[in-house]
Amino acid sequence: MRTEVAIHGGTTTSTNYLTWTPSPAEIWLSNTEGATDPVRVRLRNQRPDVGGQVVISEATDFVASEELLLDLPPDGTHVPFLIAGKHPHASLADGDAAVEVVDASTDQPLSITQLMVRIRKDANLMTYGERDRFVSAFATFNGRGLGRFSVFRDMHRGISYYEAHGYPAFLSWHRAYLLDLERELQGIDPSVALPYWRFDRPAPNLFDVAFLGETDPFGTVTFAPSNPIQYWRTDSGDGITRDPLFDQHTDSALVISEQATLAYGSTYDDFSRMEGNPHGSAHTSFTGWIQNPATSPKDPVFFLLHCNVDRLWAKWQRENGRFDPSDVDAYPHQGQAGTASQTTRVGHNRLDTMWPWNGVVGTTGGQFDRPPTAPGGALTPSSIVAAPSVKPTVGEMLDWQGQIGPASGMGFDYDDVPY
Amino acid sequence: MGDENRRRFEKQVQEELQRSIDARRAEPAGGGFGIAAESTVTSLENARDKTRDPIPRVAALHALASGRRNDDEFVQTLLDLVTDQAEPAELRSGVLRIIGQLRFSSVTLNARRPELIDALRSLIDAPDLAVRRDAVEMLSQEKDEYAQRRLLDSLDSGEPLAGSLEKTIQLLGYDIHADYYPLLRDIARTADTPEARREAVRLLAADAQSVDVLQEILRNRDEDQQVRRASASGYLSLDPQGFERDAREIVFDESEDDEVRAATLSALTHFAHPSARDAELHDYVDELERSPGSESLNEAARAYQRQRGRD
Repeated sequence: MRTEVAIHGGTTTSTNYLTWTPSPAEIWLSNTEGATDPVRVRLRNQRPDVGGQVVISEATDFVASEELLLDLPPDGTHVPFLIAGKHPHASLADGDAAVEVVDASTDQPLSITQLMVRIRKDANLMTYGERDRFVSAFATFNGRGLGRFSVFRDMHRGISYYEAHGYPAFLSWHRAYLLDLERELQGIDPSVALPYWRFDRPAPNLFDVAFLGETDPFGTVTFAPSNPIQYWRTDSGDGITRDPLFDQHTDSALVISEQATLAYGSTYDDFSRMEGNPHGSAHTSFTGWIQNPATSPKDPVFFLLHCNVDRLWAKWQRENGRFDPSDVDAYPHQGQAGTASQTTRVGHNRLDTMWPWNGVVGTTGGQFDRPPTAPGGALTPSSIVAAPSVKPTVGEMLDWQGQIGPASGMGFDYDDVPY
Repeated sequence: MGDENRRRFEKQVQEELQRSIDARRAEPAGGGFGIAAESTVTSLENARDKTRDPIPRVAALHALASGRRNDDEFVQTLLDLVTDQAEPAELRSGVLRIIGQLRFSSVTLNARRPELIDALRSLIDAPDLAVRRDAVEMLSQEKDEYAQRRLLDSLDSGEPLAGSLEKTIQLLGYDIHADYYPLLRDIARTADTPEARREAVRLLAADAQSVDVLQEILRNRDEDQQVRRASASGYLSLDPQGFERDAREIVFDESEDDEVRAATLSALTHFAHPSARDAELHDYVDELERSPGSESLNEAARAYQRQRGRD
């Protein structure tokens, strides 16, 4: 007798990635050896002491548990259940978590499914293995300036400024942007999640020659000889220019604390002031590419900086219960551009699709028009979730954990933001 | 104002800002500090007050920046302060940083881009190096033709606009033009400091005419290793097959600099055509990984093996 388990509807390892958010799963008997009665099986977190940890629940209502008893029909009918990473026990490597299925009466093993609890982590606290996998995937994605990274650089230029900045959808737009990039990286190495730079704390391990580099006295970033990021290339030629105005070994960036950021207020209008400080202040804690909106995405640190901005939004959402896009305190501009209910610039109302993923172009590229080109195409789909849509709206980006609708979960979570 | 003084000033401003935020949050009324800061109308007046110390003045502007980012009066105050030569250099430098922050979040400032460009151009000849260099860099990021011309002219004059040859070359890189390359090739071969040669080499990576220069620098054992590694990057871009041939020779050559060997092995690992990672190289890297060589070379060998597992 054997059992088979499918996570996210898949039976290959490409779907065996979890976050803190409950994921749909199914189990069934694949070889019943003439059994006529249901077989009671026990599903359990296989390695409670090492690596990523999982919790399991019946499908009807998520109640996290280390173990779950299920009765499997002998005809092979699939039985649904839910599975999630057990906060805060994220994986350190692909496949280091597992769910084991045993016969509940004999304890005989029936199957083991290896998984990864793939979580966005503090870059300063990553293991060497996590760091090296991320660095390798990012360098490959850059591809010496010839990789698909160049498209992401084109999405965030001066011409697209008003799609992404200065208006309310700043946070939604960048959440989609990061997710798109993260999924591209996972296409190179599925064990990679985008790390964040916690800019209100010192991050000496991030600004190290083995990771995203140390700056020399002239503002050129230097790397270890074995670090492939040394071959980073953009439209400015080779290398990276980044000069910190703070001591990268001992100090945080020149930003307000996380506590102060979360205390901006409980409505989106209040919280969105964080676009200035800490967001803008983190960018301008350096001179070099990262300090200007048009040049900042040329520096890989950009994506870790924005991952922390997104994490702060996620934390604020959780603290204030702001997941529901129809809640005006979660997002104030509820209408759609071109309708009577429009309340702000196109691309910044809840029901507006976002450029460039929607492919919509304008003629002038001015403050109130879409840019004249839309690089990159639709948002990269995920192997584990269906959300957001490939042409996401502003509002779709709010419910990243599927708190309001389970189908809204986007397949990412942060190490310190539980479900 | 030197770099260290500037860092110290910005740190003090940040500490002052955080102190004021924490104090507001501790008040019985509580609430969001942004709202509290915005209601403190006197802060903008204090920020303009020349009799006050620059640190609380700049901290007050930071406190106001998030809430008043689209306020014309606030933006005008920033432009006035940064162009006022009677103001201390550290204050103008601090205000430049706030202007940089607003570039990310202020529709009002971005709508006044021509005024911002004029203000920055007026700082190109500021006596304070930090102010001058920041203004030139911000203009270069906007591909400002005037700033580019001034940078180039300063190289000819021997008095680099950004204070050093290295930084001035770097700033030229924001908007590189083909007619800069002959000068850059000359700098790459003859500049006194390895950092200046390296900055020139970084920019030559976009010039197809410079492939021979880059190859020559990579193979020059008398050159500094950081310049050689920078040339490897450009050479790889301009002539991948030629680079692979040279890189293999360097990796196999035990009399070569280990840092350069590790860097070229890293390029073969991550960016070369898979055929370049052949049995001969596999065997050699197996040996490297086991041998008690330099840490860099051992680490590059381990990265090669990880990639080999994925090939």
